[in-house]
Amino acid sequence: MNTKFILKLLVPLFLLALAACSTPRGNYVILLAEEDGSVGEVSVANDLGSQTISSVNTVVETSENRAPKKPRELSEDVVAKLVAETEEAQPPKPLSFFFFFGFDSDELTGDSQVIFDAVLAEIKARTTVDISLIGHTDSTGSVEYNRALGLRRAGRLRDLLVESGVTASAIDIKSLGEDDPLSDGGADSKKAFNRRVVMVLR
Amino acid sequence: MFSFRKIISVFTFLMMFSFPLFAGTSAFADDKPIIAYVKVLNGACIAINGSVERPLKLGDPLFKDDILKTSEQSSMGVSFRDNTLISLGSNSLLKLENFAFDPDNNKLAFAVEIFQGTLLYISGLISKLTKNPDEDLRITTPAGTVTVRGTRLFINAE
Repeated sequence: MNTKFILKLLVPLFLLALAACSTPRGNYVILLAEEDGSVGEVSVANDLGSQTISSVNTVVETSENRAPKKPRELSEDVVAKLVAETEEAQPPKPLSFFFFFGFDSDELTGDSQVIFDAVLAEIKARTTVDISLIGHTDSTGSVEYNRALGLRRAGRLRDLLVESGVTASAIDIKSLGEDDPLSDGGADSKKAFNRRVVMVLR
Repeated sequence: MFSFRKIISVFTFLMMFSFPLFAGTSAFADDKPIIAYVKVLNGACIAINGSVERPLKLGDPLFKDDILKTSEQSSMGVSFRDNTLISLGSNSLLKLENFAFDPDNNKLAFAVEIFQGTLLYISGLISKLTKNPDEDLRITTPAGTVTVRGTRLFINAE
C-alpha cells in the first residue's frame, strides 16, 4: 500500500519535472522578464481557442490546426538556450536626454549646451543612429503658439545636430507644446523645466 | 461624418499604395515614411517589398510592408520609432505589416507577421500608450495571433 501511494505521488511529480525540462517544439511563445524584472501579459489565440500567460518563462505551444496548449513553465536554462541567438542580435536600448531652453526662446540654456557636447560624443560613438526630438513648452501663451514654439525648439536642436554631422533624415521631430508638462498643472506648469526638448537616441 | 483631416489621411494612405515600386532603394527613401532602422546585422539579411529586394546594411531604414529575411547563420536587430525593439534569428521571415506612431492624433499601430524562424520582441511606447492593445498591437504567427500587454517575449514559428 505504501509503495502504491508513493508511486501515485512520484509519477505525476516525475512527469511534471520532465515537462519543465523538455524543450518546446513547433510554434510557441515564451513570456520573458523585461530588463527591470517586470513581466507583462501575452495571449495566444486562434479559431480553436486561446491561452493567456502572465508569469515569467511560461510557454504556450500550438500544434497545427489545434487550439493553443495549456501553458507550462520552462527552466531558465532551456529558455536561455532558445533565446540566445536573438538576444545577441538585440539592438542597444534607446537612451533619453533632456535639453532645456530659455523663456519663449529656441536657444539652449548654457547647461544644456554642455549636455549637447556630451551627447554628441555618444552619437558619434554609435555605429548607427536615429533620433527623435520632441519639443515641449511651459503653459504661458496660447496652445497653438506653444505647439509652434515646441516645434521650433526641436527644429533648432535638429539644426545643431545636422551642423555637427548627423544625417538630417535620421532625425524625426515632433512637438507636444504645453500638453505634457513634467509635473501636473498648477503654477508648476509655467516652470522652466517644461521648456525642453526630449531626445531619444536609438 | 468625415473630417477634412480624415479625407486627407485616407488620400495619403491610398497614394502610398498606388505609387509604383520600381525604382529600387531610393524610391523607398524618397516616398515612404521610415518606420524602423537596422541596428544589428550578422550574415546575410534582405528586405523584400513588392518586387524589390534590398540587401540590408547596418543603419538601413525599413518601411511598412517590408518582408525581412535572414539566411542561415544570420540574424538582425531592428528598432522602431516608438522604441519597440525586435530581433530575428537565422532562417526567419517577418513582415512589417503596419506601424503608426502619432500619439498626438491617437494613431498607434504595431503589427508584424512571422512566417518562420525566431523573434525576440521588446515592447516600446505604443504598448504603453495604447488604450486598445488587442487592436493596436498584434503579432501574427502561423499558429495564431499573439496580443501583447507591455512586455518582452520570444516566438518560434515553423
